[in-house]
Amino acid sequence: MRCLLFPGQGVQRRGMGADLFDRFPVETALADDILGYSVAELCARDPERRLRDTRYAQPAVFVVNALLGLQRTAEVDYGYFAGHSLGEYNALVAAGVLDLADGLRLVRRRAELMAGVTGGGMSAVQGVPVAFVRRALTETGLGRVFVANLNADTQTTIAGDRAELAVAGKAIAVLPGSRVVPINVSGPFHTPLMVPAEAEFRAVLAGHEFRPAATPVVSSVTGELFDGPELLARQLCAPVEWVRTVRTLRAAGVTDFDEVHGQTLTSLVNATR
Amino acid sequence: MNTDIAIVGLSVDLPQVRGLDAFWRVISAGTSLARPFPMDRRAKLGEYIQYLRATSVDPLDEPDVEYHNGSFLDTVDTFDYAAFGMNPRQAQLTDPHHRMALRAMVLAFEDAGYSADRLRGSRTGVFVGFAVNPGSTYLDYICRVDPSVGQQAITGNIPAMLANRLSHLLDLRGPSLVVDTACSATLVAVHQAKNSLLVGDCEMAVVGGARIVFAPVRHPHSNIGIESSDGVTRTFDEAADGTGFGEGSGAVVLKRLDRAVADGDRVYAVIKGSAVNHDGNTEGITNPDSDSQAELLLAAWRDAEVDPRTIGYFEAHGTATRVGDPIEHEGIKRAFAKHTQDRGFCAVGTVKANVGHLFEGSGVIGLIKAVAVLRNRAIPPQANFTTPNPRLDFASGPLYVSTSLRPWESEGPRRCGVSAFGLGGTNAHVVVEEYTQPAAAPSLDPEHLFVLSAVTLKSLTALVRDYIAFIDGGGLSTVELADVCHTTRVSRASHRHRVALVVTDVADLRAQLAALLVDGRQTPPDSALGAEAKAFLAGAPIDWVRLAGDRAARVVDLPGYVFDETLAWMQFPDTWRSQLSLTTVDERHPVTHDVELQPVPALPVVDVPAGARVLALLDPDTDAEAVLTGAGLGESRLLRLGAPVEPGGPGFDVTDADSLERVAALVADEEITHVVFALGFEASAATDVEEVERRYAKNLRGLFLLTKALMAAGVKVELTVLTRTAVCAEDGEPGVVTENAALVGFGKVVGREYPYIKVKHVDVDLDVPGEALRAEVFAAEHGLFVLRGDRRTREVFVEVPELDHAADGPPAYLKSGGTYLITGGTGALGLAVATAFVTAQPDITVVLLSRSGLPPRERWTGLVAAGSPMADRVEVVRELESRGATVVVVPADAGDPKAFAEAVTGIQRAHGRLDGVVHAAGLPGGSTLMFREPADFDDVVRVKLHAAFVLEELTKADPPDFVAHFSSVASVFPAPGQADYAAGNYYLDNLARARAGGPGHVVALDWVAWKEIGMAVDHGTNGDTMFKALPTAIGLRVLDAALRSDRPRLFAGELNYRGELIHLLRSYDVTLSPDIDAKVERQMRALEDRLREASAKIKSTVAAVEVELAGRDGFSDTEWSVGRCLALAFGFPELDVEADFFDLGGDSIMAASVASTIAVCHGVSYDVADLLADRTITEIAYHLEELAEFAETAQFEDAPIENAPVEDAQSAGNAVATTSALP
Repeated sequence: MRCLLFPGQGVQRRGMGADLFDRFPVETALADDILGYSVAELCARDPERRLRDTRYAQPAVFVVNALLGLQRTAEVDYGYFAGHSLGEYNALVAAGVLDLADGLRLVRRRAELMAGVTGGGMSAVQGVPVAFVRRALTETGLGRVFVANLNADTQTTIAGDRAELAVAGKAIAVLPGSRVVPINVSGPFHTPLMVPAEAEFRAVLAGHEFRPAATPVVSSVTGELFDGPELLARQLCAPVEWVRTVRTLRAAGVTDFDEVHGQTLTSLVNATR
Repeated sequence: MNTDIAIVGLSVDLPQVRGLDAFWRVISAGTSLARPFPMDRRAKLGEYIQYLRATSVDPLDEPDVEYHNGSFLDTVDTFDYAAFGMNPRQAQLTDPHHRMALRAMVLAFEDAGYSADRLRGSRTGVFVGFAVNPGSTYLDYICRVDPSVGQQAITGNIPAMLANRLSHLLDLRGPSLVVDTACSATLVAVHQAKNSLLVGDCEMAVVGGARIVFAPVRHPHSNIGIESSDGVTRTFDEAADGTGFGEGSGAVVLKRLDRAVADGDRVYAVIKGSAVNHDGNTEGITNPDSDSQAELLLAAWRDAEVDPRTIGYFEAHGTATRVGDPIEHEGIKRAFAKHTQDRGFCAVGTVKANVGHLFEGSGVIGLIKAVAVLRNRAIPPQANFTTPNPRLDFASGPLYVSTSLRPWESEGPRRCGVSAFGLGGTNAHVVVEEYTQPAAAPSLDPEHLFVLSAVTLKSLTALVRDYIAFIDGGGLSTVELADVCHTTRVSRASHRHRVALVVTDVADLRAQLAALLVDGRQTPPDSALGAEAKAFLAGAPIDWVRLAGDRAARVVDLPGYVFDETLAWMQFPDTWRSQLSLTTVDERHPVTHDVELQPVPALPVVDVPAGARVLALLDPDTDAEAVLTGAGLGESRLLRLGAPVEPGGPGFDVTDADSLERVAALVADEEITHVVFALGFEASAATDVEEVERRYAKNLRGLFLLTKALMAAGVKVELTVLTRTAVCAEDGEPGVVTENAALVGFGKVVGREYPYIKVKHVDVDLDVPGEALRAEVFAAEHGLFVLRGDRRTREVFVEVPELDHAADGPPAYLKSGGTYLITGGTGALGLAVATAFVTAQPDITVVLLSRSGLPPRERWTGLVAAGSPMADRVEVVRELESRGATVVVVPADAGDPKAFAEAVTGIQRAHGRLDGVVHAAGLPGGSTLMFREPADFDDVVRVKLHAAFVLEELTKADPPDFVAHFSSVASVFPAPGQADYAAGNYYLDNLARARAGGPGHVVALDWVAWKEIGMAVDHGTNGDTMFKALPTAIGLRVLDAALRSDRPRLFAGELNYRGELIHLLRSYDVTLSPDIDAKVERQMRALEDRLREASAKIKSTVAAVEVELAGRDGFSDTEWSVGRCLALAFGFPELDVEADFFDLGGDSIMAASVASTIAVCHGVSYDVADLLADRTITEIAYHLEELAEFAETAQFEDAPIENAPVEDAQSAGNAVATTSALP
């Protein structure tokens, strides 16, 4: 069985989707309308370098993911969809839980709320198991740094208060075989520090319709089947359980993973036992 | 099928010669271009030559450098990098041969009427004749100037790239290859290209070659033996004494004649046929052979289907040597004699007399001369010819040497032959025929569109000047203006800077070109052609074929492209003298070391620290409980095997991973601070292999499963591994429970993978006081501590003075008629040992035992013939047998105790007593403990531990004279991922020490990685690390020395004190002897100095780079410094901040060095992956600023964090975020 995967923030590159928007004029116009600016201009040229900004990066990735998803699902029948963090919205759109317009409106709002939490950051930790990272975090005694993504057996991200994160990064880098790389995002995503955004976003979610899934979606919040919008609220503060998601998909019989944009998730899948 | 091949384009570039007409002037006048080596080039080379002489192994102290005379180019150090899609740095690092050959081939295409636009995507082949001449390559030179650029320079200096780069640049899809047959290379390449055209591999082909003489130093050491004494080539002359050096390049463009005619190409001449052969087994590989040369000519004539009597000019190889000329003359005579007895009808000559010998490039130069002869229908005089060589009997043969220029009258088509012979015996000959172009039809069009283009404005201006000069010299007087314009459109229109003129006649063209030079303006008229001109100037694609109309347009001779060449050469620094004297003499260090257990003071008695919670795991069948109780470990929990881990839960089973996960959960839940693993507490050694296996599974594998579970739970504990007399406290100590010592090796690795479990191994006897054990459990020291009563020792790494290698004669440890077993025997190490043994004592039986064994003997001959991977091993075995040894191969897995025991018993039955054993079988460790599978762990340990036990058991009755266990550096200084391997090897070390003084000599050798053979080579870990990798010869000498000695253990490996990893030696819980520690200290300081100097050098080099940034207004300091880093790498004087790394000419090979320069200059960690993601100056700079900011916050927060209020930390973060948003 095949599963289509949707990556999240971080895959954006200037020039992405350049040849895509002409092929989907209706969807592109819809997106421009909702966002109030040209998504093609943002993705393809980005003259003002807005793709670095969460506020713009998330809608951009979402739209490109969505258009690529339309292409893929027209060609292949997928048994499952899943997405990493932001990508989960694309999985829900592909599965018919949300329509494209609702999905984009939610993503736009989500991006604004997430961008509103500042003073934080994220770092990728490679080469050591998450248990080692947790232990190292515990040893530092810092209260405002957390494991934010469990991406693969030895790939984890940590997030939290920017100053504490720097200290934690140094402590983890001492672990043999580990490599800590700061990630260029503005906030402490997927940690309890996002609580203000979560509360507000929960109210936003209440105003949108969620239909039953035509194709099952495994949630990156729980690693279980997606079971309602509450998960999307929790997603802001909860770590991305990507390892669990991959294991669940495999246990459900998924043997082939396609990725709609780039190879980030594919390499994570390959690095997960 | 018509097999005629047309020469449709050519280029020739020699000293004072550019183009066919200039070449003909030199040939027809009989001029020799030989002259002294140009002064300018001497000046640039002088320092380098002095450097080479001073630094050679046998330094030459000769102040004067003498150079050969020859046909030298004025400059070889310039290049138009932009015209060839390179950046200045790439051009500088590219072999000048490559650059010249590229230029020659591009000019030949242009001459043939093909612009880059016409060539793109075509099935065009590239055939280059080229050889790397050892000792004087440009790569040698640049690596001497700056060894750090070696990697960057690879693509510009690999011979294959010479052809491939052109195919890449012009997008040519035909074959692309370099032919190396020495001096016949380019003519062989012509033959290859011809064949490729005929079989349809390509539709067009270019053949080129180039030659420069980097340093024509006159010195007896560097002569090949064919050099002329004065650089003048006097072929066929009495005074001939060799060939002069020649420099230059040439290329021809080939097509099938029928295609060329159909495509409207200009045809210079037609290749009727060709042949290539080899001398075969002559007297010496460099001796020419007249029979083969005659055969060659006959074959070429057959291929050409021409009557040799019709050949009126013969371009000979003619190197003017005493041996070569008579042989060549003889071969030609013999070949002609098969067809005709006529005499003196064919002129013979060689262009080498005019322009010297261009080696690999000479063949195509000879061919181009033949084209010139045919085109001019004249026989030129042979240069430097006055008196015929009396050894050449011209009068009786078909040949004569022309001494003057005279017209070549002929009834039929004129024909030439061209020969080229390679030093190694590969000969080539080509038959060329003249071609008469049909007369041009006059053009009726009143006006024509003339275009020119160039990569740079400078080139364009120079081109315009050249065209004016060409017109003034009468260059267009005999051709149709329509054809001139057609030629410019199809072959000179692809570049960025353009000229388009609508012209009515030559005078109009000249006037418009002259006007261009004055005001640079082009104002096309309002006509159809004017519209095309405007479109062309605007960069639009033009359909030139449509423009040509119905008239059959032709390609005509026009001035070639003028390259905008700038200096592209690594300058040799004149500071080498001062730098040379800085190099220090390497200290010598011993190869052999040992680990001794040396006494250390007893620990002070301590109480149980506050908050300490101990969990002890123990085996109720041992005395561990009593010992632990006696130690008084405070609030401790004793978990006995079989007892429930949690109340009411299943019993503790150390062989069950789930059970250990419960233990780990207990450690986490109950906040255990100290775990004591006391399962391996047996009082005496196992006596059968079943018991060894039981203890292994319970103790070592149990410790492995426990550790894995503790790591997975992410806990932090002090882990004490407690054993009873498992470690041999003194060599030969009786009663050692050897199998439990494997736990020591395991424990050394744990903390290297997961620093939150700190391990100490405490080995005790029952006389150790309880409070001493308590002190060990709670002490802050880690590593191995061996306690016997009140005595306490720990491991110390010491130097062993070089053992006496000078021992002569057959060693006493090998007996004539003896039988010697080598496990891992068919591996590279095993075979090396076998060979060493047989060399020392041929009359022995060697039993090679290994898992794979060798194929049955009846298949050996076939395997060797087929070049099977097994062939090398088979060959070694045959060699051993040829020396008189008996070799027996036994396939058996030493890691399978039962199979191994059967195999050894079988060997004993067949050969009686084993007189010596080398236990060299082994499997490397594979992964860190968290990801290690128990079955793999078992395999690695058993082939060491179980196998050694079995060997000992089976030879107990009659112990061998020696048993050498191959152990590893991993038992002392293991790396992460080697826990199983370290355990198995530590067992061997300890076993050997326990057997010291016994009936047979048992010795363990801790090998570092072998450099040339063995496991480390197979896994690519045979580089120098903390230790220098061990050359085979030295390894075998150490083995010999160890076996001659009575040592039970030797550590074989030289510390790599000057390496960058030496500091790691101190990170192990093994004490370094004072002398080793002092050396490490000294070298670490020296290394710091070197790194500091290197980074200071990089910084100052980068700071000195001048670069202009472009792409927008205003740049940050970081952008300027990144710009300097990239400018240093690429050589551009100006860089766009948005330019992509790859578009600038970067590749993944050079990315590593560029990233490292950027990291050094900005004091951050920035690597190749970062660079490949960022790719532009803007993005790199942005990323660097982020990193710097991040580092600042981290430093700021090095202050105690508890005191920093959360709000402050946040506002600090905000302040940083705001700053980064500013431009």
